[in-house]
Amino acid sequence: MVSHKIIILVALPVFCALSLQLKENYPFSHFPMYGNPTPVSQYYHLTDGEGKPLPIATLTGKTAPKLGKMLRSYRDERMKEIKPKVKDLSKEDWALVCQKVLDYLRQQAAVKHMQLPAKMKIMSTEIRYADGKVVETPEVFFAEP
Amino acid sequence: MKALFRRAWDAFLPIPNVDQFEAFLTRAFLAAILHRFLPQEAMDAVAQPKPVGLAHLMDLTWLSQPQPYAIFHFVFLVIAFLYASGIVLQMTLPVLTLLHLLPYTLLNSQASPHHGYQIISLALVGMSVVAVAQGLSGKGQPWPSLKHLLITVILAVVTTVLFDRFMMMRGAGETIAQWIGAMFGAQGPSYVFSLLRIVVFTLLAKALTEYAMKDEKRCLPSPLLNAYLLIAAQFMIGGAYLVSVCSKMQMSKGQWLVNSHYVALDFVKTMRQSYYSALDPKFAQDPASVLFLMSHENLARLFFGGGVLLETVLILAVGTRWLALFFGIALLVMHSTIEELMTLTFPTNQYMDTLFYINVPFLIALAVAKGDDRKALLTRHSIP
Repeated sequence: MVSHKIIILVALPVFCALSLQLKENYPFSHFPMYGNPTPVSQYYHLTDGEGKPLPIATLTGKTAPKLGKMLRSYRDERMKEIKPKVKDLSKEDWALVCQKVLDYLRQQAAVKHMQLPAKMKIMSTEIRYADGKVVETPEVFFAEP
Repeated sequence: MKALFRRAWDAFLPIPNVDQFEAFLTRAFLAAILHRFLPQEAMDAVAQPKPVGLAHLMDLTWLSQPQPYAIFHFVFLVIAFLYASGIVLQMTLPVLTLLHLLPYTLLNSQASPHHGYQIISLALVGMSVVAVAQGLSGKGQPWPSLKHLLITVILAVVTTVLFDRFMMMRGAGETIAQWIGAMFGAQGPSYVFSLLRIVVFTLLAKALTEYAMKDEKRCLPSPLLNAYLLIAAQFMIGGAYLVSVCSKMQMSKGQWLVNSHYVALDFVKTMRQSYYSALDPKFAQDPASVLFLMSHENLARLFFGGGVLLETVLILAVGTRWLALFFGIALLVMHSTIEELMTLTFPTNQYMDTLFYINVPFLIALAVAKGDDRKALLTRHSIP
């Protein structure tokens, strides 16, 4: 009979390798949170057409971090579809991705009997630590036409 | 040297002695944790835009419809009760695991993965594998008599029906809920009813366990199976923490520790994201502790590096008692510190660490045991 110690010692690297390979396939995950700390970071938030911030979690049940995750997730999906030779999507493809995310958020808002504005913007903010303080540079990432 | 290696190998990954009382407490507490985190109402996910795991094979959006979800919730509680009572774990554990996977797979199929529930699901998967493997090898838990099986199933169904339907239908539940609501606020009734259900479930499951212990035909899991189940849960939890370490090293190309002080910047990012989620002004300020960490790079490296070291070595505590307790407390301190610094909570991790590493059931069993029973709890299982 194989010792439980041998089983555990074999199972551990297998489990780790499998989790890293499967990435996000519930219940498996590669737990990427804070996996690559860098001097510059970025976050997204939602505003109405005039640039007034919208409480995304209150309106859709999806939190602001999920907005960034959705953008990355749909971006990866789009990259797979078009298989570009460059590392990032074109402006047109990003617009498609962002619109898809906003459509999904509208669907989720409807489930919660909420309504999102007819026109929304996704804001992207670069955040960095310089000269003893946090510096933020916001820009419009996508605006619904 | 050889003797030293031999001693180290012998001490490595021991099999603990887990008596029936400790095993019952573990099952009851785990069932309570499952109940605590299971969504009480239908999910709000009406689509699965980016399916993961089981969602590749099936459409899980039925969990967002109130009626099907109510049935699912009912079945889940019945199975959780059966698991807590310790009956045919090679059947109840895999079913419970499958049921537990469904809502969280749907949640994670929304194109924005959530990392809150994997730790519970993975522990369940590990325990299911052990229960099934032991069952298939012929050394697992024997089937109880049909009479005992029927009594347990009927009791599980009746208890769940009583709490989910009967009280509400009679209006008694609503009246009591109004009183509790008046005393403890809007969330009060939900918490009190959950607590009541857990207490009644636990007492009934305990009564069934005691009843089963009186006759071999009622077949509780053997002490060795109980020990393997504890080891499996600890392994999966420790393994999940280790995966996060591997991921950090892979994503940062081995530079994580050197750059770890920048994690403090991510804390600020998390605060901003918390603010923009609900425009809550309490998240509009930069916490002084985070700014302090960013301006003291080496201190930040020491702080974050300590956490990663703990996640790395946690697996060494599998099967141990006191080392697991020490690491469990350290994990709770780590999560509490992160919660304080960046308002990022890990409730499921904290519950699972408390149950399987701090090992509260063991501590309770040790406190109430006397004489030889107490000594037995502190020894290893005789299987090498």
